[in-house]
Amino acid sequence: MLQNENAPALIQIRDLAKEFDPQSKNTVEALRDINLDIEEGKFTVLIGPSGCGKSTLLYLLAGFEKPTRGSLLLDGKPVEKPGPDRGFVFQDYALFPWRTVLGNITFGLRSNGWSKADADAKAREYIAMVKLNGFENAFPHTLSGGMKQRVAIARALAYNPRVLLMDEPFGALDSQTRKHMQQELQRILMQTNKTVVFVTHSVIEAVFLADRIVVLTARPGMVKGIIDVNLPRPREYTDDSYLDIREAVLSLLSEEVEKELEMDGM
Amino acid sequence: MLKRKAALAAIPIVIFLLGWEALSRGSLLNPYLFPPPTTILMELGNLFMKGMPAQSALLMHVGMTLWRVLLSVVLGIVAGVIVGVAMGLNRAVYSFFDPLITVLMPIPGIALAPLFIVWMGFGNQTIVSLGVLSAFFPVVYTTVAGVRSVDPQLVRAAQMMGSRPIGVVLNVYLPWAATYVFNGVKLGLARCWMTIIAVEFVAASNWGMGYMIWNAAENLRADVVYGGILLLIVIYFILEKALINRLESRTIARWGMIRQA
Repeated sequence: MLQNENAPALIQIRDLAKEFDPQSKNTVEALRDINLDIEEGKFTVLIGPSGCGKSTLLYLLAGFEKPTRGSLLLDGKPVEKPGPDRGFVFQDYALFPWRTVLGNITFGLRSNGWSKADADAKAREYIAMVKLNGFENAFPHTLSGGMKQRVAIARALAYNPRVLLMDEPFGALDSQTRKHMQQELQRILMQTNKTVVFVTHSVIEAVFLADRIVVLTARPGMVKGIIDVNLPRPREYTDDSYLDIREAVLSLLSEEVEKELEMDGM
Repeated sequence: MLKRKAALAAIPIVIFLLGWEALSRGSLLNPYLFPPPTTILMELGNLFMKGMPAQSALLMHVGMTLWRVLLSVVLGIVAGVIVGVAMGLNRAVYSFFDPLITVLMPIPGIALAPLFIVWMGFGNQTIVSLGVLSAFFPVVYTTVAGVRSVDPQLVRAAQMMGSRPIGVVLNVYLPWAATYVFNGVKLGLARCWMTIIAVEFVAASNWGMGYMIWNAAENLRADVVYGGILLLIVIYFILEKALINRLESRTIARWGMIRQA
């Protein structure tokens, strides 16, 4: 589970636990004993049954939540609060409705001391990268779901964070758009070499995108197993070699899904 | 489509005015108490011309009231938004101000006029202070509600990108609350308008629509009273359409946060 190479991993998670309402009778143990290294430049997918705490783990990495126990290091420094060394892409986009596409993407740059002219120029590079040329001055409510998520990805990448955190970013899209966005994300990441931590409950999505898939158990979430996906990029959905990996992930998952159903008394 | 609607809305008003005119001219209505609308319009014309070209009496009255209303509304909005944001963000500030506002808000501005006249005398200070107070309360209330309803994901997104707390307030909480604040401003403008006209009845010296109407009534000039009331309708209509609706269509409607009729 732990990587012992020369350089320490970009993100080091040690004995991490998260409980909600730890003082009350209704304590929910979301995560238990998580130990995980996330390496620079790698695409890591967190997958697990619903309610397993995969989003909680991402929120801890983001600094939106604080761990109950254990430590969480980014570049050797503990994660305490949100900050521009990370970028976050939300499932429901979380674009600012009162800012144009350009205004949304420049927000991070402007917040970090960039001049307006420099920020605009940089944002336009990213608008081109996500293929939204011509929509610079559009307000988010006029865009489709897929376009909004392109803006959100450009916004999170524009200020060049060390790692991109993505919380089921394509979960609200129809299946055609979703497939297309997966390919687009792959293309963008091949250009930027960004480290990504990506939460999903879709095995197909996980295998298509990931370098490494971390399967979590049903609540409380623990690391059930790690599967490396050593397939060349760019990947295609028609590639047969996926099937074995999909099977491996599914068999790990299905045990957990059954456990979850038992817990729910079904 | 819209023009058709406006034309339909005008029909009952026209019938009402024609009926009034006929009844008054036929002396079925006392023409001193109910002067015909054409006479009212003529008298407004006379008032407009009075003092011209140096200064039109009517424009002085209207201008003075408008100045008081706009000053009051602007000050009331600024104060209301500042207090409202502080209350919306901070539990302790909220707990301190909420009971005070709950107690003070229901007091009609005009009910405080005697007290304010004792404090500050007749004139602009008293009128504008009561106007500010009237505009302030609805804006505070709606701003608090707006700030509290903010989408937490937008706050997180801004913090993630490195925005400082003051930046998060200015770039997330305030624009988010705009839809609510606008409702408060509409209510505040209406309350402020009523308060200022009423306070002008008792506390204005020489100028103002309220003063003009009150003074005309004391001199048994019903035509001027009606003329003043007519102007109140027209001016308020323009204030709301020209100011607030325009501001809405440039901001929250453009951002897709409300649908405008």
